[in-house]
Amino acid sequence: MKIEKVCILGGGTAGWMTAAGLSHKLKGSQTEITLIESEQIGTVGVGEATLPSIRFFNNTLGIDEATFMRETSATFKLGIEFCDWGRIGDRYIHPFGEFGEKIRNVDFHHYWTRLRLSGDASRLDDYSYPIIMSELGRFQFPDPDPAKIEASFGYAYQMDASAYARLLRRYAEANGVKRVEGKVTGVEQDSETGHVSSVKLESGASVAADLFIDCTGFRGLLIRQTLEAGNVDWTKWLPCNRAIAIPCRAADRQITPFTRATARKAGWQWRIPLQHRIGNGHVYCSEYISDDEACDVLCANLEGEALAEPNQLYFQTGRLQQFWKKNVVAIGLSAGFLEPLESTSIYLIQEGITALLELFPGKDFRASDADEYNRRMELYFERVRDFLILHYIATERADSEMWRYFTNMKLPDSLQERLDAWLLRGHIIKYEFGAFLPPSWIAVMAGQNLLPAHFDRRVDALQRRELVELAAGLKARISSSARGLPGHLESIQAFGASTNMTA
Amino acid sequence: MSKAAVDHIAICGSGLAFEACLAALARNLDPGIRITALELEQEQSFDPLYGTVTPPTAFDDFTLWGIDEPELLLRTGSSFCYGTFYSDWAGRLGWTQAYHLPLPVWDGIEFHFYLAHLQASLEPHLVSAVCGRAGRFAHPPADPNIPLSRAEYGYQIDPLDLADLLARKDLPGNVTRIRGEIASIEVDEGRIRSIVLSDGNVVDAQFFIDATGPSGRLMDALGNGFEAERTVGFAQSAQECDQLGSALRLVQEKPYGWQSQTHLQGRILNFALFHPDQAGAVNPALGSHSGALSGQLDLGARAEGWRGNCASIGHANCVIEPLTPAPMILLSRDIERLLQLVPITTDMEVEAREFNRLLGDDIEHCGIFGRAFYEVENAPETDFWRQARARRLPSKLERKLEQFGSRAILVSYDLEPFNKEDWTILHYGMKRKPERSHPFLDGIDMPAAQRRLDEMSQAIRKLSLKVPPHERYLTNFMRYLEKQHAR
Repeated sequence: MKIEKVCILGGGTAGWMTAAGLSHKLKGSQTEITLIESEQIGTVGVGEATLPSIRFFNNTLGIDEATFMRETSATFKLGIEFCDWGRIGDRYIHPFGEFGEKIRNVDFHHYWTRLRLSGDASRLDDYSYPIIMSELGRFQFPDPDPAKIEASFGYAYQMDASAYARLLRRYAEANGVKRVEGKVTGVEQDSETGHVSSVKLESGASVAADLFIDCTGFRGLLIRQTLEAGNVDWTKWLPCNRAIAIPCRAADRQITPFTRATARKAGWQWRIPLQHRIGNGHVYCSEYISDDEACDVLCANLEGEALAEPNQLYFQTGRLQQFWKKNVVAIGLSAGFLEPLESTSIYLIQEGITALLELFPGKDFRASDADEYNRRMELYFERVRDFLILHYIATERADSEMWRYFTNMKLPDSLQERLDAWLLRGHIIKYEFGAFLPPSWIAVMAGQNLLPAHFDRRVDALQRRELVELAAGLKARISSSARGLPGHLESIQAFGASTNMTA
Repeated sequence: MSKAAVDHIAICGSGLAFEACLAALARNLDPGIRITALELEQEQSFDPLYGTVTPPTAFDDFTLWGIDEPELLLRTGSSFCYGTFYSDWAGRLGWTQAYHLPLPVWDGIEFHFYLAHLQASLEPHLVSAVCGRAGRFAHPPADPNIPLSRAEYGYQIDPLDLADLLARKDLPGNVTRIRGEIASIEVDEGRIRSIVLSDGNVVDAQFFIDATGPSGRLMDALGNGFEAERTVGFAQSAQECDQLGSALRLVQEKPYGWQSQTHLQGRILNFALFHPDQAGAVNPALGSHSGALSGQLDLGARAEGWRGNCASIGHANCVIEPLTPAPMILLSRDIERLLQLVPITTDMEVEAREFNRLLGDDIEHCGIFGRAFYEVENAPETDFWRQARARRLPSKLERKLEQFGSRAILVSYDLEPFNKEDWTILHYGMKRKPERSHPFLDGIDMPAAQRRLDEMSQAIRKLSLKVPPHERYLTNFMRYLEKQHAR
């Protein structure tokens, strides 16, 4: 029996992304989708900065890229700049792209290590097209010819997540999604199966459905409060538990094609430049700093006039034990929280939607569908978690209690093995499923001064003179090509994506 | 343990794994590393157990070993391969396990969901299967508008010929090749110190590679035992043949096990794998042709592929039945991971751990693909099938079968050697029927999808008539290569 009614609870980024994704697939079917949201409950508006996979989501929905950028005041994003992480004063960019090109089937970073160990001062960054583009403040779409260095990167956006939710709301409503305004005051469960049968609203109305999708954020109204799906706490690895956010005004030249994450004494600060403002926030651990101090740190580091009052957020890192339990699937912050250091919130929403669409249940709710969904989501969350931990432990900082905590932390085995293989010989332990592929690991490890002591033993098969020439040629090609590109804002204008333009 | 730089490697063994690994090390490593290659006299070759088909990655794998396609075709009897045709499998199934690039996605829904819903067969939509079944072959063109561009190909080979070709290759100056017999292996604190030969010579090195085949002599010396899963018999013989057969290996189920025919230049290679009690039934079927090889051995794997200062390659760490290209895949991947992990110093714990992790995954993933061939309803009541099905189903395979059976979902794990297409083709070949349709096919115009399927299969059939017979294509290609070679 097919699902006839789907109810999405919560209308933030996760709710409307889910509504848009589902309504696109269910268009023309008999399945009704209702989304309940309350204007009284604020949304977190997660993920102003995104990963390249968001383009795939928008493409699938058929959303025009320039329209999307105009409506969400989006800018292009080529990566994230990390400041003060390995040491105070350090900076590096984690790009969406490759470092150099393979030589004789061996990854370029091994050759770079050989050059470095023999005294060459070139940065690994000099061989990354997106990093050089970012540093020069330029942007161009990737070249369609995959053989070119100009195709060696991907891009994402920095956007107004609330505007994105509004755009998706329009999209979903046009596809037949029914929006109900109201606050949920009660939940009815089937006495036999324990499935959620309906939710009661403050107005007295009741919404029944076969499948509920819990997008209620940290509260997890159905998945946590009603079904008690259980929590896996990752605080010991990622102890930051609060954030404070303030947008500020920006000058044109500050609109960089990258997000910035600056390490602070008790956390870190984000900077996400949109077309009309800069999103700023301070993520911190309450054990090491008070809310007032955290707010002061943020305010002291704003580069323009504040455009709103500070918005305070509380969270705990971790994930649900079961993302899908009975007839409820959690998507978004209700499923778990990982600090936005690598812009993974929207990515995890997207993976949740993709897996739900592939495993979309029938009314019989077979255990095998939920089981496979939970296996996949667990893997995605854990792989992001390990990558985030890396940022905190690959450091020489010991200038505050928080950094000293990380120095003494025991790592998950999977992460320790990864570090050992890298430090010894630049070997990357690869996986296929997960947001961060080898170049991301290389960028953060090398960027935070974890440098391999040696390199792949095939590298010495290449004559030194030949290697020096190849490397110099590549560096020059990247530099000269990037210098010829238009500026970031110019590219946004030329693409018809500027908010100052009318559609 | 003090950390000395590894500048001397010894590889020990014989046959395909030994030659291929030696060639790859000699070609790809830092020439400052000294390599001693100790070739052992072979009492019996188990190389037929590497099977007679390569995966579609062979072009790249062989390049790593220093063999290019012209050389392979001109200097061994190899021919092209679009996959394997399985006939009478489980007494009733027949399908082409073809090599194919990803199948199309229509309206955001993967191709195989349409097939499942419309109860259409997969094979007419696989260009490599259709061409292979029609006895035809051509290299897949780059132009994506031509349906043949979706085909992938490997080679039909005789592993012994391949080993011979490799053995004839010149080696660079940093390689010393010697022949000898092992008198003893000196082990000290879990590491090999040296190999003493029967002529009194001693081979010492900082790092050893065991390519001694199923006997795994260095691994045994280190106490890294072989865990046998089941015992099988095998036999191989060649039969002269003027006409080159198709670009598909043929595998047929037999009461004693299974038998394959591989179409090489000038001959057909017959191979049989059987229950050890049934050797008597095999020989007449295989015929008493020249160069017949036969034997008995255990299928299974060692606990570790790398222990102490010794890594193992090919059969020295795992023997798997050559029902699929799995043995050649494992060998290629062994060599590739070894090249990546040739140790820097005598402290090689990190390398060993990573080698073992990768090998463990590959053995598990190849194992579940092979095991899936035996997971049928009403399995034949033969000793061979009982033996093949004796072990509990691995949990990853259980999940794959459950998810496909439930709704044609293809569960994938990291870096599996057999990809989604291989699994799709296998599930359809084995007539596994999903219980439910894809949930979002409701909104799709199904008659239009059916027309699209028909058009696709018609285009493939039409194209297959234009593709030349395998024999003619290979002959012309060889003529072209010889001319090029002569220049």
